[in-house]
Amino acid sequence: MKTMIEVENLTVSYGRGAQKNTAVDGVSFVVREGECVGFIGANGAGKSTTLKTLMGFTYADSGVARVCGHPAGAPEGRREIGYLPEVALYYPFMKARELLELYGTLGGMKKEAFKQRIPEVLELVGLAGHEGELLRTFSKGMQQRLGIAQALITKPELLVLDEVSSGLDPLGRYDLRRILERLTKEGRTIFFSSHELSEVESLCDRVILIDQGKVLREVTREELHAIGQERSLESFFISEVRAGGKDHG
Amino acid sequence: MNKIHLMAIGRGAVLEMLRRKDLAVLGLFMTVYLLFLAAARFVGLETPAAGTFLLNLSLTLIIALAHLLTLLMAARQIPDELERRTLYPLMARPVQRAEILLGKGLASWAVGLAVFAVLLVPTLLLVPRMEAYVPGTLAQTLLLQPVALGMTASVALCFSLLFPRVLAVFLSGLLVFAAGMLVRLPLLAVLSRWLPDPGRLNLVLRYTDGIGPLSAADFLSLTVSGLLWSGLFLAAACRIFQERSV
Repeated sequence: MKTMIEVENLTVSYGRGAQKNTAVDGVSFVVREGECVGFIGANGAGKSTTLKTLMGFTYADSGVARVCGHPAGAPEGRREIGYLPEVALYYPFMKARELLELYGTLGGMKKEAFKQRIPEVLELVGLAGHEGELLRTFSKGMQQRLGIAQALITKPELLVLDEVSSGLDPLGRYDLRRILERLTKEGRTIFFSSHELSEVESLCDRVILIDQGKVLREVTREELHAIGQERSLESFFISEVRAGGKDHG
Repeated sequence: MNKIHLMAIGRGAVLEMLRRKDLAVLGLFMTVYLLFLAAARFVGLETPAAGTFLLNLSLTLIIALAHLLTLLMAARQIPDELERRTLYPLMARPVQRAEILLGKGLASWAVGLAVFAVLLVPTLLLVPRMEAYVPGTLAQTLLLQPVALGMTASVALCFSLLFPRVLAVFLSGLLVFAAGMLVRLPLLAVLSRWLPDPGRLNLVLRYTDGIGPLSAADFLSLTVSGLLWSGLFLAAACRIFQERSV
């Protein structure tokens, strides 16, 4: 099975000298083709920094990060990726259609393909009929749905989603789960960060727990279900973070 | 560089300009300006000196406006993208960081140039020429403006990556509008040949004073220096942007 994401001993820090703050500290993991992997951790655990490094927005101090067989940040690798940033406010002066055309064009789509793909992707995220509206009129939840649409516009093989359910109401979260399930069934690889434990339980083949820049533990879907029988996922997560993953193997 | 990428990114920046309040402000200014020119023509100018003054004022005004627009537009491109966090989905596409910068720089340049061109036509048509001016000097004045606007766009883009937004606009403005004055200060006089000064490419005064065109060598030297400075600032901006974690 093809390896879509490969991270080995990745270290990323911000600042210099005494101000230096190590956000990601020797993280290693892989995500294979067709997998849905959740990246879970508290605020400041290093989730977004890892994702940003994978996308080439942030540079690593050391270690290896490869996406779709290319070094992180290489334009060739990004052809196969759909990325959702954590809480973006899309251009208020653009219409939904124009935004998707912009990202589609940059992703290598031909103009003729937009006619079919834009309504299709807007329908998928529950924004059908909004394509001619200016984004300044969109609510936070609609912006997040549009964010998912822009990530999907070029039919990428790999989806990297940062805090995917951020800004969504319960109905939005339900819809999102259905979308991700559908994409997983289609064979897409999904790697997403989230605070929502219920989300990862229902969707993921595997969960990677991260805290203070280090991977604490990787848990498979089966293990997650077994844990869920005994106690809540929340208490499992808290105990893992407090124990620093030492008492689990 | 991918032309399709540059066009798509540039189109986004132009769309922003067209749909923001800037266009309404610009439209208002243009209307007032055209009314002013029409009034001046209707009332009539009594002396050739008044005509020359009006021509000088009008050309200086439209050049300043074009540079101001280019500067403000270029200086806000990357800071706005960072603030809205829209830089991430943009950079997540298979585009180079330099393409993002260049696309936005070209859009800022094109908007400034379009405004200059649109205002130039009524200026040349409505302002009465009461003295003999040399057409060759006007041609050089017009040909140097795209180069000067390119300098303004690249300076503003570069400074916007180095300094906080307000400081970037202030420093770019200082260089674009006041470098000519700064180099007259005793301590800075030594810099006069080396400071990137788009004002040196402005030949309006030469034209309205009725002086003939620059020699081909001088004109070429100004053009090349303008292009070189633009290239240098753009290259610096690309390097800074490329090396920065965002």
